[in-house]
Formats: sequence, structure tokens, C-alpha cells
Amino acid sequence: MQPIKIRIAGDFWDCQIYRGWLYLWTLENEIIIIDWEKVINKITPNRLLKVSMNLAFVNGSHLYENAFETVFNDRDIIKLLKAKFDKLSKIKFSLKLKDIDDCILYRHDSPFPELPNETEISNNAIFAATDIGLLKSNTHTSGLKFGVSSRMEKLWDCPLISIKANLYAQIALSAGSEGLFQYDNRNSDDPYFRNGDNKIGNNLYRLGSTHSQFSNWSFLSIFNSSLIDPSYLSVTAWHEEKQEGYPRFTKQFVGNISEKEIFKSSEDKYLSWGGDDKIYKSSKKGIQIVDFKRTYKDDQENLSQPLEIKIKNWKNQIISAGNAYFGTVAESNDKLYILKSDNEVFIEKGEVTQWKIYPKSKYYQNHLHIIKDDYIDIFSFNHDFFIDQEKKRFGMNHLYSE
Amino acid sequence: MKLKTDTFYIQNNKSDLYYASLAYHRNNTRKSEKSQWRISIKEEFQVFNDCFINFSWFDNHIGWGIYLDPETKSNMLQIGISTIKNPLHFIKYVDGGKDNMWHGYPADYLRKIQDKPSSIFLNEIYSRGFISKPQYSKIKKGKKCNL
Repeated sequence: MQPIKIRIAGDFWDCQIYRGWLYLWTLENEIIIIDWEKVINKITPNRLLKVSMNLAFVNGSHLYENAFETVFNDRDIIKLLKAKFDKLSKIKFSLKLKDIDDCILYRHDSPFPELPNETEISNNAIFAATDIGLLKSNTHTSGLKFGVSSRMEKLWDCPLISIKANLYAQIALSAGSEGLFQYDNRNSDDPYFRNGDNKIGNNLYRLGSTHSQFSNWSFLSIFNSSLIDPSYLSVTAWHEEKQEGYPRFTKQFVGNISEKEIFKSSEDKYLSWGGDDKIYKSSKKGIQIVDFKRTYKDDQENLSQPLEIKIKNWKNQIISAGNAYFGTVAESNDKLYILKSDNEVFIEKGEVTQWKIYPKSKYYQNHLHIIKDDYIDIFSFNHDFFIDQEKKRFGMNHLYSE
Repeated sequence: MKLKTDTFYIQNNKSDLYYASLAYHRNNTRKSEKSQWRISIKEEFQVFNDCFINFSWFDNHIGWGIYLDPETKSNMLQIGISTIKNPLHFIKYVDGGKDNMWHGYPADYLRKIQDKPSSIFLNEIYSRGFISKPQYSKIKKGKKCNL
């Protein structure tokens, strides 16, 4: 099944989608905020495709929900839905900003003084990894004059190249040669707030001192990826202790497991990356996969044996990657591979300015956004709703989603 | 001004500043820890001169440079190699003593975050067409990039 694509022309730098708003950063460091559902309603070709268009772009996780299990037992319904997704994938949705002028909610200067290296949105706040550190600005909250507050807060002054937020207001911070860190954006009296020797400041923890290019959350743990030093899984687990006779759970840092242990190989030429239950490593002719189970203590027992899969025309020099439910995304210098959960390979040719997936979002887990020279493509992948999650090789298992 | 024996200097007529070429970035004595120039000393001085006079890439005792093809004036040329022999294209300039005594070296932005060119510099070389938008983004994110 092919993805559905909406193209918006413009000179964009970064993007986000959060609670119905599409955020586009321009190269002039402006933010354009678009009412995304209004755009989808506006461009939906006819009312017969309204439900499938909504499921594809606005409520991307609805079809994973238990409520649909009964419906999915009916083959006719599945057939109909797939046919509608197929029909939509053949339509060329190509927009200019002026076409959707009535859907633009805000357009104003970014609160951040420079173009971000990476952004994340979590708990109604935009976090930006920049050369001057970790910055934060509120969004989508009442009382704001603009879509994003002009009051920017500097949380840490270490230059960062990549950040990834989880559902619990925790942010993994990649600081290149300075290492991997974690910022907890909440009160220190939170019962789950972690303690340990690795605390280096208010709400700030050092997880590893070797190079960190980017990272991804694997449940409570973080997989740190690097082409300079060996990548590793930084393991955090629930820790139970008795307090006045009652069990009390805290998240505690357990330690790091190197890619050499995970893949049982000393090969460190190729990139490895993780995301929830899957850990991948590029290899000469394809990709290696290790399953990682949600963990409590004995972590190595929760890692499967590596499985090697050959991929036709594989360019093994992967420079960046990420994991979504619909598949795993791997970037080489001149193309983007989407190794789909239905075992097909979708290739987007050409150099990419930016690509984004939203595995931790509520509604946009099936989105892939790709920014190129003069447009952004918003892809919706819809094959994964119909796949046995336990048998997938590519992409995270949605049954384990938090 | 006291100069080390393994450096020498030129005086820039316009700005009255000094540039020292550091031997260990050139003579392979510390090649496992120091990036190495692959342009001549004469070119090293010339590039510094060109960058300082023509571009506004110097701020707060840190500067950045590229070596443009003398013929086309549009293509960036390789200026050095990293400690693991990867080609390098950016130069970092430092006025360590804050006394207008500058030195430069081939910057390996992949391995050292402090060697990642500044946003202002990257934006300027993008605006002048020396790098593409995908290259601009990759370098800012510390990703490997074909230049």
C-alpha cells in the first residue's frame, strides 16, 4: 500500500505537528501555524473519502484502538478502507500557502534567536536544540497572544544537535562530543523523578560521555546513536522499594549496553539506532534487527539474537535514522529509505533538508514529514493498521505503545 | 609580542592583526589528536586574509573560514583531513589570548561540537550559494555530509 502525500510549497526549515496545529519554520526564522484539520477538510475530494482522509491525516492512531477490533474482523470493511486509502494515494495534493491562507492561524517571528537544530513539542511547550543550548517556549495554551509565546526560556547552555521528548516530559539531549543527557521538565517532587549519581544539575542528568549524534526513546530507556563512538542503549528501569510498608516505584538508571554486546559484533563502521522494541544496525548489504523487551532489571536477557535482513540496492552509509510504527526510516546522503512494516521498501530520492516522524504523538503516529529545497511533503502511511504487530520486523510494535 | 618557535606571523595591513600557523596542524607530529592542513602555508595565510577582510565571520575572538576555488570563487575546496583522515572543508579561527594573535585549524564538526561552524557563518555561506539547504541542515545537526 502506497502512502498518501500532501505537498505544500515554500522555503521551510523545520516542522512540527501537535494538537491540530501544523508548525512550519521558514528560513527567515518565522513560524507559520496552520489549522491542520481545516486544511484536510478543505482539500478532501468528496464526502465519500472524508473518513479515510481524516483517518490518514488527522486521527492517525484511531485505527489502532481496541474499539476498531470488531470492525476489523469484517473483511469487507478492511477491503473498502484499503481501497479508499489507495484511491487517495493516487491523488496529487499540491498546495501553496496562499491556497490555504484561511487556514493560517498565526505567522510571527520565532521566539528562538536562531534556526533550531531540532525541535520537539511536549506538554504544550516547544523545546529547541540550538547552538546556544536548550530553549523552551510555551504553545497552544490559553492567554497567549501568538501561537508560540515570545517569552523564551533558556533551560541549559550546552550546545545541542538533537533532542527527543517522550510522553513524560523527559527530553533526551544529544550534545555531540559532550555526550548524552536527559532533561526532566517537571517538578522535582514528582514521585517518579529519578535519583542517582548521574545528576549534574536541576532536572539534568548525564547518561553517557561518549559521542551522541541523536537518540530515540526505547520505552523508559534511550538508544544513543553515533557514527563517531560506539552507539549504546542507556537503560532505565522501574525500581521498587518499600515505603511505610507500601511499594514505591522510581525510575532508576541501570547502565549502558554497547552496540557490540547488542549485535554481538565489533563492527562499528555502520550506524545503529533504536526505538521502543526494535534496535537496528545498518550492515554491508542490509540491516540487522534485535528485539528489545520492556525491561525491569536483567536487561541482556531482554535482547533477542540479531537477525540479518538483506535489502536490495541498500546504501549502507546511513547518517541518521528513526523508528515509527509504520516502519523504520533511514537517511543516507542522497535518499531516505522507509523500510515499511509490510516489508516493502519506499524510497524518497534526493537530499533531504529535514525529516520528521511522530511516534510519541497521539494522532500523528503515521505521519512522515520531509522538507526539501522548496516544499514540504506530508506523508501518511496507512498499511500498519492492518498488520499483525507481533510479526513485524520493521517498525515498532504498537501493542507496546505507551 | 612573544611568538613560539614553531609559529610565524604576518601582519594584516588593514586590521593590524597577527596570524600564526601552528606546526602541529601541519607536520603530522600529533596527527592522532590534531587535524592536518592539506593546503600550503601560503594558502593558509591567504585564506585567513580573505576571510577576515571579505566576510563577517569573526565574532568574539572566534572566526570561521572556507577556501574558495581561486578560479570559480564559488566552489568550496578541501582544506585538511581529520584525525581519521576524513576530508575537512571548514576552518576554525581562534584568538585565544584575545590579543589579535589568531591561529586556525581544519575543523572537524562531526567529532567535536566546538568545531561545528556557527549558525551565522552557515547562514551566510548558504545565502552566498556555497552550500545547499540540505548541507546547511546536515552540518547544523552534526550529520555527516558530502561537500
